[in-house]
Amino acid sequence: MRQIVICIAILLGLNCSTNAQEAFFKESLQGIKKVEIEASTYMTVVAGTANEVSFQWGSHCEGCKKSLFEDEDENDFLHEKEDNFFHEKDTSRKDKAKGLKAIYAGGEDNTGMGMYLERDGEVLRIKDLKPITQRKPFTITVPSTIDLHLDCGNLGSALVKGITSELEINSNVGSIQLLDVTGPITANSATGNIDVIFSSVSQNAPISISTATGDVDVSLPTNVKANVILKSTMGTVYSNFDLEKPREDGLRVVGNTRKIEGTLNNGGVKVHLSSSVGNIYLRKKE
Amino acid sequence: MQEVSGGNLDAMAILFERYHKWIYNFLYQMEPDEAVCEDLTQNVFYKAMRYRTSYKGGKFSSWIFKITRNVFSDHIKKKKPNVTLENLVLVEDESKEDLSNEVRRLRIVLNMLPVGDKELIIMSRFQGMKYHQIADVIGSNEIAVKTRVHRIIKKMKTIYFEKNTL
Amino acid sequence: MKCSEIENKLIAYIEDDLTIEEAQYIEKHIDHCEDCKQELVFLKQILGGFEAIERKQPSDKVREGFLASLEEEKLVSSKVVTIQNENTFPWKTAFQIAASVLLLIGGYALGSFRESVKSTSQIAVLQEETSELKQNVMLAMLDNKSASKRIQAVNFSEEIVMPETKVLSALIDRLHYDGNINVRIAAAEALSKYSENMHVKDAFIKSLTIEKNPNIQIAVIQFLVKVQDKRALVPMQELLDQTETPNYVKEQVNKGIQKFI
Repeated sequence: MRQIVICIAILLGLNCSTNAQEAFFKESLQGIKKVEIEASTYMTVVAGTANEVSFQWGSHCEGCKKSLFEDEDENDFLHEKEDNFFHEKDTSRKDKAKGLKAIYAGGEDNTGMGMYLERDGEVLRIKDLKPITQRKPFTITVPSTIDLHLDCGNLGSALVKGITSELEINSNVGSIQLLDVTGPITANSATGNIDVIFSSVSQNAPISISTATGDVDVSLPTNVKANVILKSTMGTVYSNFDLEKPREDGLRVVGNTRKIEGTLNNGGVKVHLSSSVGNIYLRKKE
Repeated sequence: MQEVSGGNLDAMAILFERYHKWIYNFLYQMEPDEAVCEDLTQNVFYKAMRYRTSYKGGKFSSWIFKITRNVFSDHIKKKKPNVTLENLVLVEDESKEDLSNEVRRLRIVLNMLPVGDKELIIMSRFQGMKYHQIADVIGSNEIAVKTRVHRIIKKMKTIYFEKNTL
Repeated sequence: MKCSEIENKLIAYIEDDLTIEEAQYIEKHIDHCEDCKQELVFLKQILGGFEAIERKQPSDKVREGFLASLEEEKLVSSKVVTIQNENTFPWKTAFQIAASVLLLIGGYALGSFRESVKSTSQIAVLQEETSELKQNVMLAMLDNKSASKRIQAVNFSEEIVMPETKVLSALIDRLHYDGNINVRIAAAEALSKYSENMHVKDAFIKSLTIEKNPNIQIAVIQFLVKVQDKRALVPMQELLDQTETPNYVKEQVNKGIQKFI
């Protein structure tokens, strides 16, 4: 109840600018092929139909099962509640900032939302300028055919659903979740888990997914044509696919390289999954 | 956290930002005293930093939550000797706060539970922890935790709706 | 099912912890059983109450206190470090980060500058043309803006039977300087095949001194151990001495050192 009261107060006081359900920012993607986002927060990217990128605060992903979010669950939960803390704080401070403009070290806030937006040829670049403590999770909606490059910085994590174009994603501690994607994908995380569920697999360019200490969990449709390479230096590789081993020439690699290679449905695009310490899970998509 | 136990203390600051509110709010539910909870939260992170080498992988949130429980149980023991965590019922005075009827009732019901039950239900419902994670923290198994939480919810329901005194 | 059995499953139902059949059964039952419907409403109300409990914001004192004790702890542990290794000074990490950011930006600018040919047509060409052309197209593709395409180019090098030095040099450039970790991993794997080539060995030695990503560090160590290049011992020892090297990398270094005869 209290939260609702606060929300209403904010809505009245700030002319609806902070309503979490509304898109707060839209930008046309005319002539844009690729969107690059740099933000150290919890990013959600979902597919929409309009040729534009639109922003909302919070994580909004229809049909994304909560249980998929291993470590992120509680953070997600925390962030949602944090929204209210900051709103509450903001109202009392808002007056002080009247007539002034927020200035950030990382660049100019040209969206009025603490984010920097730049068009560079066919690329649209978006950068979160806010200090770590003020960052909030956000959701962007883009057409499913736009190329994406997400940089989650030190703390951020990413959830992407329904994007059928090329994805390049890296994170440090946060996890990466990709649902209903097709590749090509390059994803890397230092300590986060990477979970990917493919709806189909694009044969255009290779897929490469790697972590240092996290797990890699990939679900592929059973009819996918692929050459898979699974490598975990210290973890275990699990799969319920029958990997047709191309050859075993008896050469053993010194230094404990635990690399498993195989083909699915006579081979196809290269799918490279690796982790130094974590496990690799390659499963048939149900 | 691997980095912290490996010596990178700056990573600890990141973990602090990530988890301190979560820890603080748990403590506040267990004992609604801001000053005490702030001290205890600091204490939790101080211990995490001191004993970082004892972190042996796994979920950081589970590890720090174990520390939190230890810190809280030490605090209770210090405050009231002879009372164990399992059967202590805390009394609180929340009348100064402007709470909705629903939340006020829930608070009263929570405080009628044994502390062990209260802790479990708060972990599950307020902290948003999954059953397997709770099991990991309290050294039990997922099924047992689930059964217990379900039983507590039923117990709460009985108190909440059937006691006219509330 | 009896009502009592249904009631026992309601919490699991709310938690979405039932099979589809069970959930559907319960939904059907609730449609015509007022008691169970009421029970579900009660439970939802209790559980919903937790959502309404306010989350408190701790005061800044907590952070201040924490940061103070963090500084103290740093002092204590840095003393220990200085005894072990005099070379460790805190600027180093900052420098490395700054350097890698510069590299990233530089690499990016270069990539966007050079990309001109459409990559899809490049692949078509690649599959038909002779080895000479193959090499040239591969080299052009290595500078593609898309990381996946760069990996594809790296993988194509496997099809070139006797790669010229310029091909290897281009791969080595990727191993050392590509801003994308996955491209560097692919380059390390592709280059691992040329275990007799001196340039490749030199490149791996250099990589060991500049690479910060643990995945690639491990791949590089494994290659150098395999080819028994003893020059690796010095940078490997350095990795052991550096506090920022993750423990599991150190474990691989130690294993590797033992394998040098």
